[in-house]
Amino acid sequence: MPASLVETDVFLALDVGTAFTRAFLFDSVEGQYRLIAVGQAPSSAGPPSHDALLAVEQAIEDLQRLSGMRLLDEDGALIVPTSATGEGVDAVVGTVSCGRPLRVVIMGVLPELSVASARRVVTGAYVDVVATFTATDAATLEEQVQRLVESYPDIIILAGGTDRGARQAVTAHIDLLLWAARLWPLVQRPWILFVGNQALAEGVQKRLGAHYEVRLAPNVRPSITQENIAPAREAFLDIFRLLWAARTPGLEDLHVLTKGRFALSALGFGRLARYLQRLYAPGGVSLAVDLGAAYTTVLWGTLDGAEQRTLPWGLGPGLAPWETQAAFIRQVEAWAPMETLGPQGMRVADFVHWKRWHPFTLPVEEAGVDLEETLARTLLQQVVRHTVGSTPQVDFLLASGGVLSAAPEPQRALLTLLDGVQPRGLTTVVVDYAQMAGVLGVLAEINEYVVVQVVGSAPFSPLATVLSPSWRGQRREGAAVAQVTLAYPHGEAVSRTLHAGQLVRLPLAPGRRAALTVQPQRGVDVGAGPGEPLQREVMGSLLGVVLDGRGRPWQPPADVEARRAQWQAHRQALRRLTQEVRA
Amino acid sequence: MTQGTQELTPGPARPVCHIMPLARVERERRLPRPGQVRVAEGREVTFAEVIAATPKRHRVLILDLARALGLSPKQVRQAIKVRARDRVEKGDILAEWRRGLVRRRVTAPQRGRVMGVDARGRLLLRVGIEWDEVRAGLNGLVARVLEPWGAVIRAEGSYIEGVWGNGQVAAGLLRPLTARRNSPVDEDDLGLEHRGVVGVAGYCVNPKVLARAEELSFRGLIVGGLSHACLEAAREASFPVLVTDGFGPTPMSEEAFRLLTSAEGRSAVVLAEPWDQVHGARPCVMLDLPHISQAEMVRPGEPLLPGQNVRVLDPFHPGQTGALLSSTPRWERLPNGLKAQVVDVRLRNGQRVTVPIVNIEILR
Repeated sequence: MPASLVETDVFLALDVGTAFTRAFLFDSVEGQYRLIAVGQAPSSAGPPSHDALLAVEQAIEDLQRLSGMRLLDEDGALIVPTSATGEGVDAVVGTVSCGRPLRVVIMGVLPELSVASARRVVTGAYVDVVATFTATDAATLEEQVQRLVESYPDIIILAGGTDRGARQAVTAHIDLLLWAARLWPLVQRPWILFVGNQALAEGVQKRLGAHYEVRLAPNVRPSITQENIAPAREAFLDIFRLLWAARTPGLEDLHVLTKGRFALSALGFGRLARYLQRLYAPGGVSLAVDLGAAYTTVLWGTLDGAEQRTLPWGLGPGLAPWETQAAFIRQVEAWAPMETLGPQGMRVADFVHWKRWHPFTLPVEEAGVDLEETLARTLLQQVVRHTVGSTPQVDFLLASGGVLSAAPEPQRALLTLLDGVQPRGLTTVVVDYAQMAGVLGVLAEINEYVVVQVVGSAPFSPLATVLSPSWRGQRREGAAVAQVTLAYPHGEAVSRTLHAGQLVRLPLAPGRRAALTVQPQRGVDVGAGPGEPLQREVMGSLLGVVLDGRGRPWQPPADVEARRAQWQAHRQALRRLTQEVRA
Repeated sequence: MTQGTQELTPGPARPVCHIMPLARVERERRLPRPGQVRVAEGREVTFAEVIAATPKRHRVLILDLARALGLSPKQVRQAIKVRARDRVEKGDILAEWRRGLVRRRVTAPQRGRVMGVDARGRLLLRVGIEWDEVRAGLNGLVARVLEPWGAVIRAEGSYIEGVWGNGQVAAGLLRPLTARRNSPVDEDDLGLEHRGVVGVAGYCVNPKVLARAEELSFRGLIVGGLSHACLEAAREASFPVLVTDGFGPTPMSEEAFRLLTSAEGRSAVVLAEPWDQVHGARPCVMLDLPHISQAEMVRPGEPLLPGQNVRVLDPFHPGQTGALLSSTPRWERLPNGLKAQVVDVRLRNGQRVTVPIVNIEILR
């Protein structure tokens, strides 16, 4: 794209979340795209307004006020494109994450082939896969009919058979759907998305079309060795949007406002996470987490083999699956730096219910922030355990979500992440401070320059490079773990012995680079294998290089007083910079 | 408008929690999925009446008629003696085929309903069905039918909304269990004189209270706050448990406590359904009044206005209400370092507090 065009475009990006709706304004400043301002309003998709667009309007008004730019005309309509006097915007994009998850049933022939591909079709969308049917299902026909009918899906993905391949299993699933149609009243019948053997497509339309809304898409498994997800995914997202828009007033208007450049936040987040991974750890393993109020989006793995999941877990309505689980509540209590909160002595367990039923409230006291961060730690531990696996070795960690992005100080966000994810090895940590990863992912579709230039600016500068050694068995507190040297390009260096239990911060400002050399003690793994040294060039960040000598997995003390003291000590340790830089 | 701040155009309505001595309520009662509505507009209903239902579970049998009769699927069509939607009793003939002296029959193994026969000559017989039902929840009349979801029930009386309910609905006579809104209820507070009542208490942190209430055949329990330790017992209680304000040792708001305790001996319907944060329906208590005039219509949301009665949603101000001093939010950094849009509130105890706008709920 010619530079002159880049410089003239002003972009508005809207994010309709469960708790908040945000409006982001991107414009060029001295030839570089920058985030100008962010407007915000409590979301209005739910009660009492039941109109997602109202909060969008209020967020844009807030944005107008903060940016000083006129975006709305006298009638309150968005000015598109920009006027000769520089009012308005040139393009609008949007993301959404405020609806209820859709119930999906997957039908395929083999679990590891068509069913796995069908699962990838729905990956990252806000769905709950409520039942799966395969050719190897041992249940009787009656049991299968009952299971299907009682799953009350919104969408059924009917996959199976390579093109001109297996027919029998797919036909059996068509029969199953015809039985179910006799039990479901018309108004309860789901959409059918057929993504299987194309030789059967016409028959599927003919047999099922009389009973269901049927959409046909190319086979997700045209041959055993071939997978073709994209067209099926596009068809699936189209149905998804129709169903969500029907259930969430205002979303269809947003679709019009953005001229269709409107996607699920999770998908935009995934796209940006992949972009950042290419930037920070092209050959490594990454983990990206967006911790929302109702959903958590997770992306993990290498660039070639990254997996993405959106879980119905979060720090609001997303606590519903957890608030009744005693083990989860015990875990929150075991990590909290206090037993009670507030003048009435609300217990930590009570706070979990409070947050679930009052998801949009903000803590007004320090202790409230501590407890929200504790909740985030515990939820992150569950997210990591159910996706990438506990204490993962990751080269790049991207985090988004209110509790991390809007943390009162960056040290707090880092501690929440380190305790929640417990990464091993050497990890570059980036926090999406403006919570705009999702919208940038969508914006990338219409203008990559914005994304490249905004990602290179302050809102996406790395938070820290963290070295997290791990070892087997116990290691006495204070025992040496590794010798760490950070050599700066101008000849100075800082060298430290990292002791077990310590958190140390070494200076390395954003934009600078230094050579990190780590010589671990026997049996200690710093990312290169037990006892193996590590040499790596590391980039500067807000908090520099952080050495986490607490080991993996790390658990806080059982005694609440000790826990509180340690909570403070850790925060203090990350505020302190090592001063022993030698020439 | 507060001096020195910029007036914003009115934003989306803020949620309202209703605590009203005289209210006219229109309450949507919806099934989880579309189904059959069983009431007509204008009909009077009582709180326990089922107004709509939808199948939850089906038990089915698939009978292979072709195989049983030794016929081709085409021949089965001529042998079938029932039609789709027919009800059949155990032993009724479903299909019959005669060739010469030989007569073959397939009879219904159980009572049920024929749901259809497929192209392969298999018959689907539904032999059992469980329903998801929605009850009226309030004593009133059907204002509108929401085909195929349920209906809107209109009711009048004193009305109090809460934040949590255990899913039960019942009615009984109100009886205070604690003298103060910020007092916990203890098992010893529940005596034989409380048999079959709807108890009202400041808050409950002792699970034994729920066991004792069960022994006394309570018709309902209304508390300001309920602790985690009590939640499991509350979920399993056979009577409705409704929380008006929050969790843990959260006192009941002054407005709710005053209204409930001043109505001692009056009949109350406790609709302790969980708070539906998608559609907005909250658990509620409705007190029947002998005669109502000038009842005010309940509205789900309103814009913020100075002087409005509000509740502060925050563990540090549990059960606290007050007057909104300004409706104009401003960005401010809170003492804990968070940045938020805030407003000022004069609490009932005279204290002036600055709270994030998202921590405000209008009280009517």
